[in-house]
Amino acid sequence: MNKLTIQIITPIPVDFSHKMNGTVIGEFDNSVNALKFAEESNPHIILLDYDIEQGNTPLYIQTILIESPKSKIVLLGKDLPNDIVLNSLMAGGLGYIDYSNIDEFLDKAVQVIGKGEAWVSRRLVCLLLQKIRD
Amino acid sequence: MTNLLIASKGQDTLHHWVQMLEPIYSLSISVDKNIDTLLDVREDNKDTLLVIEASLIDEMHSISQLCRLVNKVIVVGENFTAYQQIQLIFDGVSGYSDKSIDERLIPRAIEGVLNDEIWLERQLIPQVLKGVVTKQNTPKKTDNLFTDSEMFKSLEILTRREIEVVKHVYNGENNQTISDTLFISIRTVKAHLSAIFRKLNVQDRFQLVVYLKNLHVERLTH
Repeated sequence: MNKLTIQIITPIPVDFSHKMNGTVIGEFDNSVNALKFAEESNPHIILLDYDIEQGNTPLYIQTILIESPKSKIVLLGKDLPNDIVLNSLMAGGLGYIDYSNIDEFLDKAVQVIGKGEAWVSRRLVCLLLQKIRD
Repeated sequence: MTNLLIASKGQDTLHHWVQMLEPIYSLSISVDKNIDTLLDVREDNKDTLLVIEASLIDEMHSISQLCRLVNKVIVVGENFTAYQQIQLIFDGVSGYSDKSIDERLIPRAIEGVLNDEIWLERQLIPQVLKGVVTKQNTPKKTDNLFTDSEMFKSLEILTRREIEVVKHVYNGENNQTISDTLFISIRTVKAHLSAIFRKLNVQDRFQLVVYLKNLHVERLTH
């Protein structure tokens, strides 16, 4: 398998290169430019910080997936409430990593999602299903 | 306290499950091969976790009926396909455990479900998420809120200068760059943006870009 290509979208530049096995092909602090890049480059994985679009995050995820349908989006955030994460998953996100765990889990999450799985707790999946049943 | 009910066609299976579960859980375990009897005798099944052999369900209750009667359901089946397992989950089941793999996983499944988790092969979770997204009707390029012609008309309410600003926003330029390119002050750029947002009923520049993407704005800018 080719090395995973990764796009990073965060309001403040971050250096994740030593924390994961993959090629960072683009880093953006501007959501519009990041969207155009995703459309042109179709990265395997997009690491998206919630703070970049905050309340617009679900819409942003949907828009990215329309422009780059094969990209897998992982939400990054700090102590995000379940509802925010659930809304992002319902929009098409495939994972959530809290910044407090990023050193421990970033590479694992990237590799798992690169293989077509998801990085989300079974508890969150349960909450997600409850939410759509309500 | 959660009541654990187990139901299977075979007395051997039931006996085996009781042996396996009784030492682990301080739960009241009821054993019967007739699920109707079990559910009828209980006034309140709200706190009940039901572990049921899949072959019983066809004969007695549909999955969704069962899920309405008890709090949580774990189905123990044999060789269910990925599609069948996911369908169970969408029908309201909290977990699926396959007999053919390892029955010792049943206690782990129960533990997980009691902790409000979903019990399903990890590889199937993305498909569950995909199913959720599909149920939410994720918009596609062809699913515009308006038809193209209606959206194009909506741009007619913008002035020529506002359309210039729109093009630059679409290209991801910030207010400073737009100001430098159009030889106008940043304050004027902000005023144009406020007018554009109001006229197009969007809240910010990102929503404006999404609006323009639905419009396939490349047709305007080239």
